[in-house]
Amino acid sequence: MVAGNPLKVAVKVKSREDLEKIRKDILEKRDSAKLTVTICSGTGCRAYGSENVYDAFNDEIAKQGLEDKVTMRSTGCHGFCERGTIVVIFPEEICYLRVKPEDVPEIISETLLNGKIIDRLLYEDENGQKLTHESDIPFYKLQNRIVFGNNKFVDPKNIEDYLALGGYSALSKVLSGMTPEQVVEEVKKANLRGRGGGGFSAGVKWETTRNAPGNIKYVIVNADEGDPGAYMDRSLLEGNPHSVLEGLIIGGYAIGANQGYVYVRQEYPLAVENLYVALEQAREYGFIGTDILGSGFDFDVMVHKGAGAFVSGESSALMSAIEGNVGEPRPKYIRTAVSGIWERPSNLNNVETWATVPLILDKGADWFKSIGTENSSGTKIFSLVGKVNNTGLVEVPMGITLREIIYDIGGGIPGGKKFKAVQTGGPSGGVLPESMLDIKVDFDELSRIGSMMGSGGMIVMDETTCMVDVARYFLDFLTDESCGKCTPCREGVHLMLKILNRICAGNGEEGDLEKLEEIADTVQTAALCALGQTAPNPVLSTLKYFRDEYLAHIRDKRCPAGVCKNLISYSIDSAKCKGCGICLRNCPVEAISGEKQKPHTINQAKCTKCGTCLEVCPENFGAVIKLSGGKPVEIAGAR
Amino acid sequence: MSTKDVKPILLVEDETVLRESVRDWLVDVGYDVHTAEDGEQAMKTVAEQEFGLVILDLRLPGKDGLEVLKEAREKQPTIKGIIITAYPSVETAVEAVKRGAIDYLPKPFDLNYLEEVIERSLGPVQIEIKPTPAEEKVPEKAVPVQEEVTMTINGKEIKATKGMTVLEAAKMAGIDIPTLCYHENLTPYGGCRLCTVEITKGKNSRLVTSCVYPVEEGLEVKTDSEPVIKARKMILEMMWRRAPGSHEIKKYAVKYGIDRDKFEIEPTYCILCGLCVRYCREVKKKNMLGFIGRGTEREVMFLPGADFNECLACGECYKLCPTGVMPSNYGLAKLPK
Repeated sequence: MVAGNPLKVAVKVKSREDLEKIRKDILEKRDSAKLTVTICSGTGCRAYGSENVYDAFNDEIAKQGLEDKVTMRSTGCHGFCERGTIVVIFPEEICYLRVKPEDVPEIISETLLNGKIIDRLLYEDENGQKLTHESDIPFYKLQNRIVFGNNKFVDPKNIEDYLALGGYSALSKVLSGMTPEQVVEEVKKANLRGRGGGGFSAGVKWETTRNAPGNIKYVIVNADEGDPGAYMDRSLLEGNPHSVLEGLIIGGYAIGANQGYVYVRQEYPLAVENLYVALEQAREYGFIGTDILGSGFDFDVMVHKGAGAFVSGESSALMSAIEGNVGEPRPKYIRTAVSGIWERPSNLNNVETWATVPLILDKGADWFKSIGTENSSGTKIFSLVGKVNNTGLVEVPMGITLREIIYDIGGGIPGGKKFKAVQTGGPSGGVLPESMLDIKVDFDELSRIGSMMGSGGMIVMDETTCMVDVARYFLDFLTDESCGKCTPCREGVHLMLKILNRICAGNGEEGDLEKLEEIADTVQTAALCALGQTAPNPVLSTLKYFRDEYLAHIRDKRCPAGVCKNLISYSIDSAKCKGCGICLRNCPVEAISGEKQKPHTINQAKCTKCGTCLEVCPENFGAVIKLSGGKPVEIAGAR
Repeated sequence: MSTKDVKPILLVEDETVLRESVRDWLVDVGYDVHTAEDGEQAMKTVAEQEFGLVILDLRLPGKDGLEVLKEAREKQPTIKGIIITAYPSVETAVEAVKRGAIDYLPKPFDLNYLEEVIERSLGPVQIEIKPTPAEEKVPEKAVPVQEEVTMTINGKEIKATKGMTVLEAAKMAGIDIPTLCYHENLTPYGGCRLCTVEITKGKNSRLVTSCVYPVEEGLEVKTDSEPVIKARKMILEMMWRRAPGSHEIKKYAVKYGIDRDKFEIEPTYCILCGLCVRYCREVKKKNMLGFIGRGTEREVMFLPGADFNECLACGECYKLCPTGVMPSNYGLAKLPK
């Protein structure tokens, strides 16, 4: 990939005035009226081939000799991943979606040179109206992107972009005029709660680490995000690494730590790459190193690349890994804030929490508290995935309802199907039914109704999702990810999974649910770490809200959603079948037989229940029926 | 060691590792054990001395174990036989019984179980209890300032020293808490969770593991409350399915009246308490053993480069193993040859 504007001369920033001067120079050198094409190069858009789009722009601009007229910027994730590759053209903020390399010549000749909008590439709302500007698209309009929104202005490999937006001004404010205690106070006052899991007050944790005995302390970024379907921390670190570093340096100053660590997943190659570039640039400018901004404060950052293990996100396991040991939780009842890495006070926060810190110091605790709810201030980034029209990363103020996120921002459920549940908080979280859609999303409300905020995973499920199968899926994940150190988690999760497998296979028995609850209770109360203690949540929350579905599997041998293969069968209604032969030709295992113009039949012994016959049977015939427990599976709008 | 009244045992096994480890285990529990590598050697030994029991590997170089058993019983009709094999089949099991074997053990087997079978056929031996090397060198804990805390365990007020764990305080007060992965000379591990107790601070109660939870002023501890017993019972039921019949677990299984059929038995024989791993690392400073794998795939393994002869010469971790799987061929079969 071609990096953004390479740094010409690195200038050591020695004071607050220095920084402001450099910022002024950067802004002066930039013409805000100049055409700028930003191409999202987050991991999602890269999967759509955004690098080819970038290259196509680069080539075409060079070919037409437009280098002086047009600036190109490869940015981090914009969030609307459903519609990648995303191209936004400034200063007008024209937003083109699903851009392919072949669209590029037209964009250049029409939009860049003639100012004409290409309708085909615009967002079309439900009334068929085309929306030109990114900020008009409902997906973006209803969000409050204070943390994530800068991604689209920043080339993560160019510190100048971050500086142009006011980057590192919070750090210079802190270092030039605030005592560490004042910084801690401000974060406490802002009521910033950790965005990685339990929602513990970051300020209180900072204070604990600050006051813990010892001269050597550490601050750590937890970038070990590993929930299935969640990628907000990854995208933030990829797209705006300096915002995370600035928060970390401020934290180091406040806590009294001169050493920071970033624990990042090795499987996030772009995040690792951009982080290294950002660290190098921050060092060149003097934001990391000795005597930062002339304050006398020294701070350095080391990167620890972790081999992906879900449990390593747990604080004691993560610290054990940084020490060079196996990433397994330690059974300590002394908080890591007091005794962490090498038994020294260590403060761990996740990527999003650190990235929020500069905003609080820059704009003040009162501003931050004005967003969100009383006990959960600010915004939260969610990765909205699953059976929802607009999948992507959304940043919303705390207190928004689940319904607003899923329907207004997410655009509802695709294919006219019915909403069934939403899973929040990743594997340790819970599943919530439709009756909970109007609760206000914040730390306390989600816990109250049996789920959790977690790091912000949000998986939407429609009526074609089987809740027993969902619980089984998460337990399967947790069985693989349990470190195996303590008995309740290692054995208990495995035993629960065995029962769920049995129920899904149609061999559930009376008493299974009670047994599940009994095991869950022991795992919750007796497991060593938070991963184990919360591992039964997917089972308990589905049992709480969808017990009938479990009972249907056990008693009627019926999977109401028509998912569990052992409990479903396909059949052809002889009254409706016209003998067209489409299903017969498409069946991959030749399980369908029948003469032309005569009703066909399915050989149940051969059928692998792939559902192809149901899909291909012409809509006006509708002869193939999915059955479960002797009854047809009825899904609205689904065929 | 007293071996009076008990006839010696002959162990016929061609695999050195297994032969020596089983011999050591049986010698340690008090038996007089002779060994042979094959049938020929075995028959020579049988001609020279009277044995109470012969343990035979089914597959031996030359004559197989069943053949040797038959011949040995022709020479000494009272001799009892146990067949061990990595290749179990119904045919050979039936044949073994026909030839007078009292048991037929597929490898890997639990040495505790083997010991039980031997004890049933030969009678118990009086064991002289030797302190293990670990117990001999109790490091003196340097506690310069002894700050005293007052707390209650099961309603009884006790005094403890700051820095102690709840388990240590309970032991001092003569209150029994069950443990499996705990050893007083090793770093607490908190893995088996059997020593779980309930603590109350103010209005909040929760379960913690006493082997790591530090004592504190005013702490209320209950070692046998209903939630504790419930968790402990289920933890034992989970262990039972992995190491059924193991002495240590059986002891607790009886005490807590567990439902042995609650979960399907899927033996791994090892309950992953980590005593052997930690003993080797912390006391012997050797690091021969380690864990590999995650979740239910977790296993104790010899680490690459481990000097196997050194392990055989030491064998101190065997005595710590609560299930007896460590010194059986299950653990040692995985040694590089």
